Amino acid sequence: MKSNNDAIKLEGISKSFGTANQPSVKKTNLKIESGSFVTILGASGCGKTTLLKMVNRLYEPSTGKIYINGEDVTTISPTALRRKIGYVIQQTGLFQHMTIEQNVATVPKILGWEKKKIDERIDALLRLVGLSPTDYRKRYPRQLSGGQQQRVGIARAMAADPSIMLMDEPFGAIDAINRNELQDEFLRIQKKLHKTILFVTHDIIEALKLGDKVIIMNAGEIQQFDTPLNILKKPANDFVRNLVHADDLLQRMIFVKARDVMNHNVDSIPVNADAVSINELASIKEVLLKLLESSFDYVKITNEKNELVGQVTLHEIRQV
Amino acid sequence: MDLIAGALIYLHSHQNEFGDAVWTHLELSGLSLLLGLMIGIPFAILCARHAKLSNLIMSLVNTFRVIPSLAILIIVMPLLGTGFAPALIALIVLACPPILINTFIGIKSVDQEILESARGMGMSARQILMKIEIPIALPLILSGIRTASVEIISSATLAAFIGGGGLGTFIISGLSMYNFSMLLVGALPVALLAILSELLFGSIERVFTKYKRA
Repeated sequence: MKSNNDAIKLEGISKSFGTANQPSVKKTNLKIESGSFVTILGASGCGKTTLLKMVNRLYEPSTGKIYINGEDVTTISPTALRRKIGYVIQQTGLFQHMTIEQNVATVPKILGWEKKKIDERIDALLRLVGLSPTDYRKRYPRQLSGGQQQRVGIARAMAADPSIMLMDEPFGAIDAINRNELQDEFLRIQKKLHKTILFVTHDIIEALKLGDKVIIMNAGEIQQFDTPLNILKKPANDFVRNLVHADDLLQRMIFVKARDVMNHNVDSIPVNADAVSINELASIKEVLLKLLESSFDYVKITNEKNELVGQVTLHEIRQV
Repeated sequence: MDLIAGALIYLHSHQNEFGDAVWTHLELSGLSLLLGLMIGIPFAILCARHAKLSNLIMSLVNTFRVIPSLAILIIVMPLLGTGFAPALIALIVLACPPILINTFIGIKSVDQEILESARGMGMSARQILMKIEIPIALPLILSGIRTASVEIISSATLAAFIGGGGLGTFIISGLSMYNFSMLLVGALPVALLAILSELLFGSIERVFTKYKRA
């Protein structure tokens, strides 16, 4: 049965490189739902980047088939396929001899967009990633900080509005403070755009923080593919358990979001304007701190539009 | 001072010959540079794509490089005779190495990440070559052209030895007749041309490396 909800589908995919005696990726099946943010977590050499690069045919799989929005990727030419998929890498790969606007315009130009449309798109994208178009359009990549360069990298990947984005450790080379900020902003962008994102990282915190679902890989095999909450609560094996420190309650509280455990029954929440509220994406740790500071025995959970969507009491926190 | 005055007098009385010589010199230099580019750049791109071919061609080119210009001119004479054409071929042989080597290194030095992201964005091999590799390699290519042009202009002087004409004619005649004024009529313009081409290509290079200094 073919489900149209799967943006990316891998069927019996494996990859072996020339002389290596172990395949880089062992036989893998995977379905990525449209609009979901999936992180792939693993140590270097676990096959996570290889898996990613097969999706846009930078690597051709040794066995199996890959479908993008139901279409077999081998029926599309690699260049046409890649123009439909955003691609961001760790070192940004910005074209140093081109200005920021020229970098961002790359794919739209190849696709033959009108100049006016490209111009508007550049402005919109730079604003989206938090760079002022008037200040940055005419600059060259080397005049920007690492964090700013990666913002441009993301804008460039989104230029032709691809529904799917592949990201290979995009924040890996950025210092901790800026990385955190970029992660938060990227989550905000994703909430607006609902792209299907496959995001490779070796940073556990990043994987659990960003992903709606997390793929944990080791030695070319998927160990677990589940929500951050389930990975922490029900690790599939010892490898996953040790990797995410699943036994550490405080660790779990950092990664479980209010949204994951809250009581959705909005009507049962006492109406009290003074009760503290927090965004649904906040961690349970933050919720607990709010709860401890507050004189109420519950914390109101709100969404991006500041609408009430649920509540968390100690009862919900105990379930973490 | 007498030498200079003598040179000016000689120049004044041989305006036509001087004009012809300058023109032949420029024609020889320009044409050999152009043909050197047309041979050197495609071969460099080919080398950058095929490692085995690059080993072969690069060692061949480096061998050519150590042969003095005069030797090359003399070697072509028994093969091709005398006149403009053999001089041109000898100069092309001289022009190719710096262009080929610099273009090859320039293309090879483009960062892997840049190539990966270009491929990942769906640029075709041709688009990557024209929009990424050549523009990034351009400063090095231009400095190769600059080296080649200076080498060609000075070596074109030697073309006179095999009857190729050019400003070298005055130098050779001047030397054999012990007429240093006549020698200067050839030597000074050659030096001037070499300096001018150095300045010209230097400033073109600066235009194309603006992004590195912005």
